[in-house]
Amino acid sequence: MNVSILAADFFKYAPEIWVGILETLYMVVVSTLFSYIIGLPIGVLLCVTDKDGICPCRVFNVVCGFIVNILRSIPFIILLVAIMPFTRLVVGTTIGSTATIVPLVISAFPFVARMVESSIKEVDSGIIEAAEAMGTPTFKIITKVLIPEAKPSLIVGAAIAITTILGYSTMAGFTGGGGLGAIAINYGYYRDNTLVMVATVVLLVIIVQLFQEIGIRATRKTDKRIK
Amino acid sequence: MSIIKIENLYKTFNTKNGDVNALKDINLDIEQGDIFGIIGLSGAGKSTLVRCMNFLEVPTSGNVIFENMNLGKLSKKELLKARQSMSMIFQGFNLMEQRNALKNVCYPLEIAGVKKAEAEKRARELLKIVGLEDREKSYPAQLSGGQKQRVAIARALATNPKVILCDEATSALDPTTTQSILELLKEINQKLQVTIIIITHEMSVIEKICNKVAVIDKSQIVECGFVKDIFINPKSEMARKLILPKDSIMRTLKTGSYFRIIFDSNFTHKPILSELILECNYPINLIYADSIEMLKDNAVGEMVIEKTGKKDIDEKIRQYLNSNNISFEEADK
Ligand SMILES: Nc1ncnc2c1ncn2[C@@H]1O[C@H](COP(=O)(O)OP(=O)(O)OP(=O)(O)O)[C@@H](O)[C@H]1O
Ligand SMILES: [Mg+2]
Repeated sequence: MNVSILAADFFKYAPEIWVGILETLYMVVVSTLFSYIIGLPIGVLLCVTDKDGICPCRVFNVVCGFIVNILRSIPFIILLVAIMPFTRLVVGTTIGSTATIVPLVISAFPFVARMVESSIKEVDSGIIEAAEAMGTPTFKIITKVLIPEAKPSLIVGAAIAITTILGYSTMAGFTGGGGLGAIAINYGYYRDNTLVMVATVVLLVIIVQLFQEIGIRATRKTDKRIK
Repeated sequence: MSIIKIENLYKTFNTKNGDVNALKDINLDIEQGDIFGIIGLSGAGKSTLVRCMNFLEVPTSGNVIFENMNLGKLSKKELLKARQSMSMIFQGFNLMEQRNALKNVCYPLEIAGVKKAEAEKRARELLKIVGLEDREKSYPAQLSGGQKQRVAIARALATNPKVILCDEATSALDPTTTQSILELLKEINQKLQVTIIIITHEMSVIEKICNKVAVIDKSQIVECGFVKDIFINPKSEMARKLILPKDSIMRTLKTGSYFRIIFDSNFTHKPILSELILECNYPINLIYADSIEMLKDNAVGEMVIEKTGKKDIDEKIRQYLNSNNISFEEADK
């Protein structure tokens, strides 16, 4: 294969790669959003109901923690296949990028919950004590103290979550999910097109870097502990 | 009028390694306008006591009565409201790191439901009182320890509290900064009539600003009263220890044998050393003498003399001190 054929080949696939990028971004952003909508409250609850938390509740903490751990220990690729009936129930199909969002959210929200929990646990107990001493009701401690004080750490967590979800999303390519993962598998793997394979890998690396960089910048901008 | 009254308070922590009795039968009466010190060694139960005063720690038994309200009988909502009239400042400042000085001072006002513009106006006034009007935009990370404590004091004053509880508020600060923070607290007490309760392990803090003091030792209050009385005539072993810390002088002494004589105001005008010399008919070597506190014409102090090395004479010294009811201790290094 000489260079001109290679280039022609690449341009042949360019429109599909572009669609792949958009699909990947769509899956990742929407899944991250839903993972946080579910995972953030669970993470906060796990933290506050802990035995040294502001509102200890052993039963809830243990049950909820157990469910989260179970979900976290199922490998994504297995979950993806195992919940296909559920996915069909929710979005009406099991293929395409929208269908991939369902397993992505189910496997990412427990991970997000644990990350949120550990970020919130980092908040200095002295600050919480001060808030209690000033007569802050429990719910306001969460909204006015815990989350604002943990914000920089939560943003770092979100950058990690988004890259993890990106990684998961590519695996869905095997079962007919969309995005760059599907392109890498269909063209790069089944049709043995090295160029497309390399191109998708490079694009994935760039997207990861991008999210990482945005996360770091956002943290630096919000964290007031840095002088 | 008493503002905080503590009656038969006990606090027991149930831990894995058994029960810890952190407070036993505490009774205290703190009057409106007092600067009330609570002193004791580490682990004596001071923090637990102060945390019981605003029910951050729920006592195992006994009552805490604040402004005629029995805190144990209040609903959660009423308790939160009561806490707004009972501020607290801490050794570690505990400012919110992601809020600037102004926003930190605004926090208790936000909780109390004050409108933003009004809260900021009040916060600015308070920062002025503590001398930080030009630092309102600074974040805690950009402030020194003393400045952070000033912000914390401004925050504590925001809701016009009746009482400020200070748990080792100056322990993380150097002596000069400590001095200025204590002066600020005293000023607040005098100008705003705020009752201040100060927890400390340093007698110098008590001496500087408190009018009353309770000495706490091994979970119990062993002595309580006016600072001037306790300094002149400390009755408990612990009070004496804290007023005249043994390690200060005794640690610096080199090998040898000594008597360390501790005298209170009853002996101010008694020529103890001369009498000893006459009594024993032997030259006595004075190593160290200091009066810690001069109150009117009374002095509390200590004196270290060297043992003579002669058994019978040392025994005579002991007899003299004992018969005059002068407390002393011996050290053989
Ligand atoms: N939450 C807790 N659980 C178990 N034991 C506790 C708890 N809080 C305090 N204690 C115990 O109660 C006793 C008194 O502690 P406290 O913190 O009141 O002492 P303190 O006088 O404030 O000491 P320090 O000067 O070191 O701050 C200690 O023996 C401590 O171990
Ligand atoms: Mg303490």
